[in-house]
Amino acid sequence: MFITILFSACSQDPIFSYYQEENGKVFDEKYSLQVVDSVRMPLSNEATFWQYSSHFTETSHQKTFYSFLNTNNNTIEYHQVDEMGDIPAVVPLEVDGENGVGKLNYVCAHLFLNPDSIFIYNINTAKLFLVDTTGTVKRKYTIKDYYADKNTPSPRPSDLGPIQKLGNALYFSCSLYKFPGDLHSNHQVVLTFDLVSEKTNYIFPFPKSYDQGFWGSPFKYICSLEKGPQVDRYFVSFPIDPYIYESDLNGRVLNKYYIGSKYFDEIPALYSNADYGLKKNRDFEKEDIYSLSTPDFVKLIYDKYRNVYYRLTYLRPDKDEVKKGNSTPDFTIIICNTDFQKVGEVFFDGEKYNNSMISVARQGLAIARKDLYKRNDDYISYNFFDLVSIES
Amino acid sequence: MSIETEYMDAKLIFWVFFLSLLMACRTGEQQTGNDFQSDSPLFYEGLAKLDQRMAEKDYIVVIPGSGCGGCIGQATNYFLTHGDSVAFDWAVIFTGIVDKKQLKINVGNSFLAHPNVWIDEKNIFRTREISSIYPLLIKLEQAQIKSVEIFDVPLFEEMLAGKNT
Repeated sequence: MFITILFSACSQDPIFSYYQEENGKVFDEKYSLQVVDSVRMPLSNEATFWQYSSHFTETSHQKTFYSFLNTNNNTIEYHQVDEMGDIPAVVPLEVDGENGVGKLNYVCAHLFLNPDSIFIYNINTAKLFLVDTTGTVKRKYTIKDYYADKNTPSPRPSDLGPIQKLGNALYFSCSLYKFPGDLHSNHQVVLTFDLVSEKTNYIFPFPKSYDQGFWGSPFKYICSLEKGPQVDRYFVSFPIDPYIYESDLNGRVLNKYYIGSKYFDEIPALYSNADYGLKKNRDFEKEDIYSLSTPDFVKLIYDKYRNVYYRLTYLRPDKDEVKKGNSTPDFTIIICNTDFQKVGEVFFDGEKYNNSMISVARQGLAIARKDLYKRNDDYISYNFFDLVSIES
Repeated sequence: MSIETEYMDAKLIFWVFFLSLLMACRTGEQQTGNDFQSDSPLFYEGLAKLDQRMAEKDYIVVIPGSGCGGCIGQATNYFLTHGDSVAFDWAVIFTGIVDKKQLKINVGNSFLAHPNVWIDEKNIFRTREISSIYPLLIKLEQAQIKSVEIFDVPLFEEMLAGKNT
């Protein structure tokens, strides 16, 4: 018995491999993406291209809007894409008072449903506001009390994990509330907020893959949520996990689907010890370089117009490039049908396209062109991509 | 800065900000945040490429586009509000600027048009040997580097008053 204990103490548990070729490198390639349209929208003098909360929206009247939070002047700028004007429409947002939403910065987010219903989440105060295009606050909600709820995750919506509305509830992807490593206490990563009862709930724990190692910077631990064609379920994607998890509205996992990239194999952990994040003397520089030089699965997007899912992956520069200061990734978009069978994967140049300003519009999958902004900073431009069949 | 946007919760942000402030406020054994090499010819070559007249200045402040946010804000704001009252000849160089329009929004067109302000569009001063994540205060004498410090308002005002040269 002593020998057995000694033997097991000396052996190191191998990291469980999630890697498979099927539906990753091996798949039936049926589709690619092709530019079918583009849009060039004027920016105000106080707005730039670099947005952290921006998206296209189609209203029930089939009007397409593009909007973003302009944190330079606490406004929302938007365009009705079908009837483009010479100047953007601007929603002024007050900081204080009856219509105050606080001072917004780049970690705040919005969800533009239509001109009468725009949600704004101020991460600094953990308050949610429902405003219209006059800037009038119609409803105000408290999502979290930072002082009372220190030991719960905080919502961390962004372009890579936007706020989702399912029925009467908003769904937020959350951050870690402690350093990575403290994942064994059933840490849940999705916060739901019922707009009627005004109750919050935490659902959906980290998948087992996060128990297999330490994965670096906190952004490697933030999930992306997406709703699909069915109203009673949603999907969750994690940066280091090749699976996509299908969940009911209460966070119960119904299915998981392996969807890998043809451009990289299994994502290696920085350390095999998941508890490394709890150590006092950590090498943060090593963690940053690792995090910015290893690929990840970044965002899941459902395209209701083409009935496919897109999984965004980052192909990051190597360590030497990161050390030189170049951390801009190229990226790919994996195309899946509604059975989560991979049917395509398309590479994008990270110098030409913005790797986070990606959303769905009726016109196509919209991806922002950062190269065009460098030529003329008075405009923000998007290409719209449609599926094209690949003849075998 | 896409960021990919890396998350730090409110507590972490507070500590990072606090530590950044602490580091920015260090006097005595000043650090430049990396290995600024005063004997490197790159600094002088950079001045020559940007504008040779800068070599005649008393002080050059190199402000990076990213790095220690609080320190960058402090240095920028100092010259925005006090630049015209500084008795010595100074120059501000903005380097590592990702978005010139954002810089214009932050500091205003009139400041960028100031005869003592330059934008290093070719990022000459982002070269590893002479760059820093902190704003650097470079004191020149007869077109030669006399000292390099992290820019700090009290330190700079002491230097201007001749107490710390």
